[in-house]
Amino acid sequence: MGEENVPSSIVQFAQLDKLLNLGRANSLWPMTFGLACCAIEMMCTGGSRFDISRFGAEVFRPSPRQADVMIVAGTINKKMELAIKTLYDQMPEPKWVIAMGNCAISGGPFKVACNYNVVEGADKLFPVDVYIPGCPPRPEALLEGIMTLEEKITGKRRWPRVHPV
Amino acid sequence: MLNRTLVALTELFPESVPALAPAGEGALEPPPRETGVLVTDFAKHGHHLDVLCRPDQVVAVARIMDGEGYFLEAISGVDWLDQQQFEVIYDYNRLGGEHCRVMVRALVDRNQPVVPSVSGVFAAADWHERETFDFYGVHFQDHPNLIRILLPEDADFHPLRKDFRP
Repeated sequence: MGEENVPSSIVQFAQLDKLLNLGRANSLWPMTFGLACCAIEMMCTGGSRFDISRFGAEVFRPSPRQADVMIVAGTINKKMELAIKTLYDQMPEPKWVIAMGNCAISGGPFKVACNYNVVEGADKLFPVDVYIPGCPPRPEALLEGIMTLEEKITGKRRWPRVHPV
Repeated sequence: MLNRTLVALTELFPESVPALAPAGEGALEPPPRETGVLVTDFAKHGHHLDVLCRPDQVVAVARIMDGEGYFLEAISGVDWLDQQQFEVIYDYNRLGGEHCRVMVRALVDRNQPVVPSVSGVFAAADWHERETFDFYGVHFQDHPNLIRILLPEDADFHPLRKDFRP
């Protein structure tokens, strides 16, 4: 083989990538994927008090083809497993996954020895980007998860992290 | 209303008289019930009448309840492992007018749990019976579509049985 000398390309795409990432992060369109109780908290976040629209994410798309991020909100049962996997595969790149709530992270309260029907975590099916613990997580926690995802995409955080005094 | 239902149901059980449920929470086991109608304390049990019937009487009871204006709330099951019996429980409720809740129980043999379906009388029974079949394995005769409803269709176990280990 030998060593190859790859000349640097004439057009540098780094700044464009940064701009695209900024655009993607600030307009994450979630797919409506409320399975169980966490869906109620997701709906609350979409309401006016907690307002996910500030982050560009109020457009919940029912179709996976038009969505960027899949917020897995709720328990995944074995009967639903195939449908979720299909929906994830149908989402076009770039796509991200937020696992919201304990059930989506690890099976949550159903992760017991005699578990017979619950898939123990969304990451058994596909890669997850952000985990939001809680049962259910508060709407503020979901917003923090969205901000963490934005930080993952752009490298910068929208608002500084607030530490309790 | 209560008395009307009571009278209508008692026709089905000519051999027994409607009794009052034992009031106290005694340490003794109550004697095993004969099939029949029991008048219960609503504040304590949540239902006004408690009917124990044979599996083959279930459809007749459902027809009487339908005639009296009740609707079917739920069908569920209980696994009595020691007695080797399944108990299928039908909850009937009546709103608008005098409120009356009736619980109907039918005991079946655990190794051969076959109960006639009441979905011919109450269409709501369709999915409830599918759920009872899914989780206990109770087979409902003449059911239009007795397949699993909550577990995956190819599951081969009945999880709510007391001897189920995943």
